Amino acid sequence: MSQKIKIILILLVMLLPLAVQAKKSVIVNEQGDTVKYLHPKFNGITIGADLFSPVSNIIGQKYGNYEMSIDAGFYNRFYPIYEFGISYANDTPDGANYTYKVSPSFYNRVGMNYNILYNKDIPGILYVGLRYGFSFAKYQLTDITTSSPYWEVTQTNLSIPQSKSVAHWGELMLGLQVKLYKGLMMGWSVRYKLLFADSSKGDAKQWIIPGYGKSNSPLGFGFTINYRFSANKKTNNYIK
Amino acid sequence: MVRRVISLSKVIILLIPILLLSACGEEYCEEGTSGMPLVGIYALQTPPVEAKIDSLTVYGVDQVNDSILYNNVSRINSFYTPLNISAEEVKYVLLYESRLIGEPYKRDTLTYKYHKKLTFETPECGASYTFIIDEFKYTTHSIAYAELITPEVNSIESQTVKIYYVAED
Repeated sequence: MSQKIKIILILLVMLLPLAVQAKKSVIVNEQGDTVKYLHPKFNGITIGADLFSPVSNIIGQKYGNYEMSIDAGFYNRFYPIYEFGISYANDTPDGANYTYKVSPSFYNRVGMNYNILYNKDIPGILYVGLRYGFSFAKYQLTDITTSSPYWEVTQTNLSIPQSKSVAHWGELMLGLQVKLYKGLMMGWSVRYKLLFADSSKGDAKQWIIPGYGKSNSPLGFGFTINYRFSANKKTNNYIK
Repeated sequence: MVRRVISLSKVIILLIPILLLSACGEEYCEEGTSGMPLVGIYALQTPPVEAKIDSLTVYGVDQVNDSILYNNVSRINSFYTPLNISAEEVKYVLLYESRLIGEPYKRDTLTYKYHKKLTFETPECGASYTFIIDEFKYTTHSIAYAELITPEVNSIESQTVKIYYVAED
């Protein structure tokens, strides 16, 4: 069994007690009837923007995913979500003999967040999520320097011509959103990413994948600011 | 109490990404290393077995400073023959330093004719040339037989060429 699958299974097992605990609550409405959900069927629409990548750019990260999201909440439990953004890169790693460039490229993710504490009357959500992402990219390597030390020869300013690639991947995530004021929310998330495939062929393999990040780094982080347009102001139910 | 919990959670929200960001690390190779043909030495018998040469000197023909790559190395069983990124052919002289070997068996020459392409496999190892050997030639003063195992040289770990000698009893 691969290491990645093991990590996913461990994460799922760790989250299971939270989900079980959430199910144990008994909800009673004003008429005294036991109901399944504390929150209404439709919770509203949430629009969000990721701040992690722009902040990372300010402190030195040489690639960026500028991303927005829109989701709809049902029973405060299921949040189908669509994330989309633009990505670019212009990275010359320390000590490396190349510059890796990605032209501004579009990416998409679709998936669902599952609020573990869906029957709690708290100002926020704690969720696990799944995503399927795909992106198209044009990338190239420039400013390449290479040498033959024995033959005492060095070549500079070499490049590998632009390549195109389509990539798709899955993500398992854990996140938190907390209400700050009215519909304004802030949150963070951690993503574990699994690259299914990328179509890069030819002389240069794809390294920085729009929406995914660096292909050799399976973890991703998000720090989001969101605004929820709620459909209902209050719940009429009680938790016992 | 509830307000305190909410305030604490807001602090955690702000701190966690910063902590996670500081934990990010990246490792890179020092520089791109182009593949170098690794030559393995074998005794010509059935089946062939790895062998060692008593004392061997290896140098490239027309190296600008006449630098020696391996200088009278004893009991050597493999050696690298780096290709020149600014040429399409290189020759290496193998000089057998043992006193027991006399002329004309004292030296052999390996010749590579090749073309190359720039490639990028991993960010750690960077961009480097992959060489494709179009023609491999050798002299047979002491070498009994030689073979090109794989024409593509993109690794420094596997043998590109095997050379065979008649083993001494």
